[in-house]
Amino acid sequence: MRKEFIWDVIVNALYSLSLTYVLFQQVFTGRIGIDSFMYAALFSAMSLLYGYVVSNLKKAFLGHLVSIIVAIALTVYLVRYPIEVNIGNLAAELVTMYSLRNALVYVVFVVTPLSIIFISIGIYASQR
Amino acid sequence: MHHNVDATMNLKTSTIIKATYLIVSLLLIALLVHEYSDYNLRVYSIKRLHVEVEDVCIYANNSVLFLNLTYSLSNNGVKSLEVSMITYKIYFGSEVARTYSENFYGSPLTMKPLQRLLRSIVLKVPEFKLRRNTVNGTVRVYVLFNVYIKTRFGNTPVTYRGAVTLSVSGL
Repeated sequence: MRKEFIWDVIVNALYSLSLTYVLFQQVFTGRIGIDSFMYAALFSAMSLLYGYVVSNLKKAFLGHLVSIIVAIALTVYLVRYPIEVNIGNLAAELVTMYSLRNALVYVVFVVTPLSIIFISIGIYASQR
Repeated sequence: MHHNVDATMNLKTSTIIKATYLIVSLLLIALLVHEYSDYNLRVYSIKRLHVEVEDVCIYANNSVLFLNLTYSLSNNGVKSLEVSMITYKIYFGSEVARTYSENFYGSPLTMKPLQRLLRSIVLKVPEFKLRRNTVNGTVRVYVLFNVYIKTRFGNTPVTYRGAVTLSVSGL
């Protein structure tokens, strides 16, 4: 039981950090272009694998939701931190607002719809 | 027997997919670390970029006044920085005497780490503005630089200031 819990935490942490990488590429531009869809395709593949590895609908969607929240928070913090340390607080606040908006738009309109589809496919494949 | 083979195959597939998941996610994490370190060091380098006014002189040529501005641009950071534009705002006292911009969009001015560039520009300045800001034969010249650096956010301006007092009694 404990082993299974640790495995779940590792799987979700890896999923969340993968999404952090994708978001880190996106939050700076604020535009949804070809690159955005390439990263979305990469993350869709990750979602497919994630669905297969978790192979439980309830667990997968709960983990997905938590991973998205953690990834957004982590991305915004990673973008903000060097600005806060090197430039100043005002610039850091502006960057936080800008990156948070970009991350939310990307997650809501691109990442979530695709990942829901691919997680479902992954779960279905694992049940066969 | 047939069921046993199926179970073994399923186990194998499951293990391969789990391994693929781990490898791909660890690869993405490694890329994240690399990208973040690049971003962090670039921001640090922008902080360490320095612009200093080295020399300012005003001279007359065919009764037209020119201002010769020499300044240094030093990258004291650890990453190369690309300058896409520099704008200059030159004040005589508190009055704007001249604004000017240099555009490097075609071929950005690349500043390597620890590189120091000495640059010079010559600008025509209006004589009447110089005259009305001259006090006891001297004028205070302020230069406001906006250095636009290519960053992940786009072209980001960084502002620097320089000031010198010039004697203009000979003009």
